[in-house]
Amino acid sequence: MKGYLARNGYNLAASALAIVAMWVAWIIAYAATGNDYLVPSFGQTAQKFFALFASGYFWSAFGATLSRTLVAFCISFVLGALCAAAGTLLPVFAHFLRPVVAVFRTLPTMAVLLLILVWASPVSAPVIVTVLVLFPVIYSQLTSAVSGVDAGLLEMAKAYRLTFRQKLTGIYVPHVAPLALAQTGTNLSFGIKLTVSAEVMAHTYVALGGLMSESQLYYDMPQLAALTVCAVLAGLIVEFIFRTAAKYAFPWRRGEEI
Amino acid sequence: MIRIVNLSKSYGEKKVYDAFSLDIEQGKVLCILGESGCGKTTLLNVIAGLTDYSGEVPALRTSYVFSTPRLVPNLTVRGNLALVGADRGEAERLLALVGLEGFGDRYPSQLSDGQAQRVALCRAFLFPSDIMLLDEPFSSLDLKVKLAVMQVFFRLRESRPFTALAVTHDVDEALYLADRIVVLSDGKICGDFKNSPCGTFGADSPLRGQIMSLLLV
Repeated sequence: MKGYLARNGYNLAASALAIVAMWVAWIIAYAATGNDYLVPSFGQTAQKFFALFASGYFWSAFGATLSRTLVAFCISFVLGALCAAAGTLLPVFAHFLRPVVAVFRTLPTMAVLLLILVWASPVSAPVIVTVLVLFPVIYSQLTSAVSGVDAGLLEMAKAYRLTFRQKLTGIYVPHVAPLALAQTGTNLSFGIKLTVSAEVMAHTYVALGGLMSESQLYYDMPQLAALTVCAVLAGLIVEFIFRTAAKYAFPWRRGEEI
Repeated sequence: MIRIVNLSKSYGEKKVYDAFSLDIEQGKVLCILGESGCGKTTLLNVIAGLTDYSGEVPALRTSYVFSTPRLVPNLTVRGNLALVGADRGEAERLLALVGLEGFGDRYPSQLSDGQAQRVALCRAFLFPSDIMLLDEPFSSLDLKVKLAVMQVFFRLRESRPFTALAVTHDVDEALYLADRIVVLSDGKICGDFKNSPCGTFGADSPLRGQIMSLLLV
């Protein structure tokens, strides 16, 4: 712990300073506006934030939002991995996918959500929107990870006539896995943000976004801010867990920043 | 005898080999010397099937020692040797022979350059091949480590003779290791010498002067 602090002391201090700066900016914004409906006070927000933890309904909504994010992430990951693998094996498939992925990447999320809501329920629409946004991101990350496999190793594999399975399990998967795990945290965090936004638009019941929408309807700004803080914290915690896991889960690169 | 007949190979407009032929005696080490860009590595890649060509080159099972170790980073030393089908007992015996006893559980990132290159040599030696190809395997090592690894190579060939084709631009390396030394220039053989591998670096061989004069033309 002492060694860790010595190595990362300045970085930790810089991060702490950023948090303090954001907190001070909040206080200044509150003081400048002097209006609880525009910027809620920090004290009231903190009070609402801790009150949320005692509410069973909040936990159901929080769990439902996280579940939707997880389902959307899993669908996107499986689709992205299958397409990246197919594109590596068949370059023509990668060319076929290129415009499709480009269109998915530039889709205006909220417009698509409104279209989807015509035929999908407010419960499934956020999942569909999150998949539409996450899939091209994950596909691009995996494709770039696969193309980053050391060409020298592949030449060695060819010279020693390694089988496809040996190359897959010995070279490709171990190269891609640490990168994929490190990016999973960022993708899940992004997924939470997307799902919550879609839930707000879709007025999904039993959802973090639904609660936010409700708070906005009743001008309960401290509650809205407290729910936003919850979503931000959930994203940060998920990112931290996966980044740490990626650092220590692979013994051949233990402790390396990925 | 391994026969390469009428090999032709070009990179775009540049012809590296044009009707090139070479016989490689089995159980011997043939060393190819030549300046950079004369086609030494291309010849190894042709034999290993890593590049296209025209001409007659027998389909061989090859083991290849590259100028860098090219060990799989996520596999331990033992895992890297097992990847090419090495028997565990044989792998341990060989690791001991090259001075890496007890290194089996280490990852490549935990090895020095010299240790990693010794593992690469073991991998090539353990793979059941018809010919071992060596592409300047000692060039990235400092002199002390280079000598240690070359001694390992010498020890390995004494423990079990094998057919090898090594390319280098270092005359001393060739004199140290090879039974035969071929000097290449512009994709053609300009010198062919029989050598008694001395196992000593920088030895005062009568061939040294002749080879140097060809290389300096």
